[in-house]
Amino acid sequence: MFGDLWRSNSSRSADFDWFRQVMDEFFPQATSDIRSVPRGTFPMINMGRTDEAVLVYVFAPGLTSDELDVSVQDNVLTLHGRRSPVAEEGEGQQRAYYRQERFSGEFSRSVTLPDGVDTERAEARATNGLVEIHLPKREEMKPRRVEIKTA
Amino acid sequence: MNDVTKRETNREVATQQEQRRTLLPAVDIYEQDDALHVIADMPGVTQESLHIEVDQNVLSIEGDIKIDMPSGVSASYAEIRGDQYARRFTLSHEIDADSIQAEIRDGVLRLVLPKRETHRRRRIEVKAA
Repeated sequence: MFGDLWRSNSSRSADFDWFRQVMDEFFPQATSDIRSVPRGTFPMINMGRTDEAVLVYVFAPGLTSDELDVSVQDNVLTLHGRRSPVAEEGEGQQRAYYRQERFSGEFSRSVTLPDGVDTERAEARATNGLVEIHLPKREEMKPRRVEIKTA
Repeated sequence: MNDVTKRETNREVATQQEQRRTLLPAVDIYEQDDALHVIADMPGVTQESLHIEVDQNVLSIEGDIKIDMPSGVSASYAEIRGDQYARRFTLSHEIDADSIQAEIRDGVLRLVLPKRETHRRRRIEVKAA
């Protein structure tokens, strides 16, 4: 599904990506965006664009719409919320954990959006733990076809 | 000329299928008196695209990420680079594989793996002397 998304990235294999990540950590001479976060920060985000809009996909499993707060200010999209730990069903029973990899607690993450997004008309909708934020481009930022006139 | 282009696209499709990218979902696993619980984060997986199987004591969880993307989307940034989640666990013999229950809601899978009756934890009364 995200075939197109990962293909746009330069590295082709996951192993190489891991390697690059390690290299980045040990040799941090490469400049990175001031708002970039380490890989795996919850919630994970994918971004794409069409001629009409910028699309942000937020991977927010288990979050209801009132647990995730999406806001835009200037060109910065902020995702803020809280994911509660596993519901305490079977109260009183002993619970021994073997793995606890899932994120829980408060989170807040910001991403810079490309210029020319009409934040007034932004819309978000959640399905299966995935939130799609649709940010239409401003009219002047849309690609325009230039007519070639015959002499 | 046209023929060549067609062949090119076919090859493109073939390599794309080989390169299906599998992601490891984050899981929580805990045990209670009567069952083991597995909770997995699988955003974008629907009830239809989820496959859970127990084969020879191996539990496999697989789910395709289904996203309704408009046509003509080009990527600008991607942290999730994959089209499916998959993870396997070996089960011990006390799990009753026939009565495993699964439920997926808002991209979170919950599995209950009940223990066989004979393997449940028993409380031992401590009698006063």
